[in-house]
Amino acid sequence: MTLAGRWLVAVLLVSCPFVVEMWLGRGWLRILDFALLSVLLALGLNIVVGYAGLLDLGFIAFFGVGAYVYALLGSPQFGWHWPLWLVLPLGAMVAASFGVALGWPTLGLRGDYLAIVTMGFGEIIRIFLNNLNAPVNITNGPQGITLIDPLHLGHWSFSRAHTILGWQVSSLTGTYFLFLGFVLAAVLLSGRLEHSRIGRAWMAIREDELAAASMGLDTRRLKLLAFAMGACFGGVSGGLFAGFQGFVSPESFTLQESVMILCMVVLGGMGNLRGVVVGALLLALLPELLRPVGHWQVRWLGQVWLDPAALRLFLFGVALVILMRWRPEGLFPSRARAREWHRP
Amino acid sequence: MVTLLQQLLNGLTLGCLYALVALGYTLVYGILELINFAHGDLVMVGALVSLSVLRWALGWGWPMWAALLLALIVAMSVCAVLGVALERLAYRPLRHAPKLAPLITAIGLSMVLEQGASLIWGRGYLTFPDVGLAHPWEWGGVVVTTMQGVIVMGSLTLLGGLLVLVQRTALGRAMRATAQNPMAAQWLGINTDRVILTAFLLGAVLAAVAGLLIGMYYQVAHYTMGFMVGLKAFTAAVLGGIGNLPGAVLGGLLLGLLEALGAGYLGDWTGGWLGSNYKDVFAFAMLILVLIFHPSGLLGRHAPEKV
Amino acid sequence: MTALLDAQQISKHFGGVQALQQVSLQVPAGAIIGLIGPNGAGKTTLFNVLTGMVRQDGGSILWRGAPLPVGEPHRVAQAGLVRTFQNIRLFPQMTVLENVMVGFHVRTRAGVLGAWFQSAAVRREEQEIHDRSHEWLAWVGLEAMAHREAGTLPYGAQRRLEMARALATQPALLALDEPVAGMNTVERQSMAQLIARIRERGIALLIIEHDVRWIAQLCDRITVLDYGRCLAEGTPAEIQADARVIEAYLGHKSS
Repeated sequence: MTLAGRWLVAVLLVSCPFVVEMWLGRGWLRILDFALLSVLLALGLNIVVGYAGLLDLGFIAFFGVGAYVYALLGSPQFGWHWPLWLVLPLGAMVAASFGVALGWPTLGLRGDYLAIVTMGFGEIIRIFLNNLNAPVNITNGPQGITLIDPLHLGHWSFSRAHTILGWQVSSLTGTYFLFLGFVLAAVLLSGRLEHSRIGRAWMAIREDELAAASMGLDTRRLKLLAFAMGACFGGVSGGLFAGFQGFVSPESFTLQESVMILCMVVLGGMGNLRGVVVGALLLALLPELLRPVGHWQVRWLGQVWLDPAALRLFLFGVALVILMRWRPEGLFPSRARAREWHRP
Repeated sequence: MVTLLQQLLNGLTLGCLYALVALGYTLVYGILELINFAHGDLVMVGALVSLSVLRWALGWGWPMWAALLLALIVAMSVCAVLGVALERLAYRPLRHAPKLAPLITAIGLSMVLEQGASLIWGRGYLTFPDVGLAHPWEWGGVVVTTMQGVIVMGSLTLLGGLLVLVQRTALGRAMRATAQNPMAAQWLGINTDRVILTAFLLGAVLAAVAGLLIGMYYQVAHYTMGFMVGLKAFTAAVLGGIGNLPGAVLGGLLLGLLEALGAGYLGDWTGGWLGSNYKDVFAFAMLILVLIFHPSGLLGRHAPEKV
Repeated sequence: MTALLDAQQISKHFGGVQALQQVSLQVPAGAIIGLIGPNGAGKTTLFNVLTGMVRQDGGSILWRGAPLPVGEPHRVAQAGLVRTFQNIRLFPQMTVLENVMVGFHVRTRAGVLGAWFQSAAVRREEQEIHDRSHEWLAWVGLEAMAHREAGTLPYGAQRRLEMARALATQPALLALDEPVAGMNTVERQSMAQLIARIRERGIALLIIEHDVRWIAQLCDRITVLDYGRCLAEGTPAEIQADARVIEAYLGHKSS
């Protein structure tokens, strides 16, 4: 990117929340904030699926772990109110250790077994979250945990509006910049990994695991590392989610959510940072764009024949199938990635 | 003792249902080495289609046996068409694509089936019409319903039929040959495309039967029901040795029994810590343990990667 | 003098098939050893056992006098024994240069934190990997193709790339599985020259090949396998004169 291009992007990113809030309203800014968390999540899964080629269908579990760590350490549930700078890294670490715990038994498995096992793992986590309210109440069961501490750093709370240099900065705008900071950091860290010794090793494993091992790569350790790293991103995203939303419950962490993140990664282009970011933003915003479909039906057909939520997921499914058939490199690939999938 | 017998009987019923679905996974996997994620959703389609047909036919005053027969036929046809369509339109074009592509396609198809079903049948739980097979028979405290009898007899007949088909007929021989070495089978004049299609077709038909039976047994159907059934059946297939037909049956029965016992006794064993709401976890734990310690399953052969 | 690699009485069976029966093989440092035999004689199986990809049923493998790790290919490679594959196994969607750079993995150390914070040491290491990968590519004559995708290279170039990638791991012994299969006479001669140059760098080679005459011009000693047994062992001249070898070989070739 040229210097001018960089400046343009920077100006766009900074002005975005103000413009959105002014023209589209607070509702859309809130959606945008959630979309940034999706991007963070998708960047995490991209490490596992895109770089190391490990199909993880239970990725949302790490998001859930991160969210619950934050919720348990910062809510009236146990009466603990730990600070953000302590809880987030802790959530990331707990998520990473779950990643290792999942990766460990599945390392020797072929890709398709791995997909099933991770899928089962995601469900196990959800079942535990759902049921760990008895005999000792830890997660509060299906009701979830409410009244979670809002995101705050020291005395700076992201749930309140602030006045900076005479500018009124709303809580949603402040949150936007917090999340944007995390996304930019994640992009930077992912990019550096991609072009490092570790990133090359992951890709070598993705291409041919046996050949990679015969070159001296410790494939077990490297795969675990990918799991842990991806889970870390997921855990951070989950913690931010819990603090932003103020409550968490197991139903936010279903298989459908895992598949949705996979869609984000695949749609944009696996292993390709720009694609993943664009794909995640697109899919996170799409439900809102499809929302009017319900209103149109009521207006023209008298009632809702096609549930917009179901329609959206249906279309995603169709999109996955079509993409894999004709454009497996994703919609927004780098040129190199496009070449790779279309080898004779 | 009576409870134990009762749990074993319930487990046997459950096991038969798992076995029917597990065969679909194993048939396709044995030949293509592909996990057809959408297979569990075919069970769901089978259940919902037969539910609609049953309601319709009973609404017109058809006798129960005729309504059931019609439901079975329609469900089998719909699933067969879907199964074949999945293979032709989605999987076949990807047969030589990188490994991730067919897997992701399978997930996409599973979403299409589920959400398609929710668009047609809605998002609520639907009650299955009462088919009047709930009559309980009691021997010394152990209760068996006619329904359970029908499930066990029906599935065992189908399973037996399938085994005969694969072990004794020309079609079965072609299937086994394709599973062992697709290239060589092709040279010998076997139409491998047709064999693969047949595997999908057979799996889909069995899934339809399983869908009807599961619907009748639990008297409820829902557009997401395929997920759990599929996962359990896959576990059963792996347990028995994926790709191995008798293994899938054995794995299904075993998983059904283990689950029934787990649901019955898990609470007692763990002093109330883990209740029957963890029985799904139990099945997964099983799957993971098998994969770690004996990935080739009970009856499977271990095929090392070619170097 | 202890050999670099000393495999004693290696046995391996798959189901009922005895793929290897008490095969012994020594590779002294800096030597070129040929491994010949008809198809299905167990040559590749022996390679797989030696490189830790397949566990032997019996027998021992010593590397510089100490046991070689079994069943862990990456540790074998770390020890300095690296192989190529009969059906070339590159990382096809990575560039030619990246393929060689992966070869340096085992002799370098930058981790995740290094990649993130880009300390001077890490950047230096990365630069060195980069430069030396280019050097290896130039050395095998692939410099012009450095930024092409590995999977798109012509066949002969893929073989050379696989060797460059293996050389980047700094092996003491390079094991080549049929390096000239499917090549014409000119290509075979140029591959022979490349192999001679590798030996000049002090790297020992173990080479599987069908073509007795081609291998004979290169090797110090040859081991002949037939039906999983060691049929003969000796200098190229001895082997070419050995009646049993001629019989086993010509017998198979004419059939």
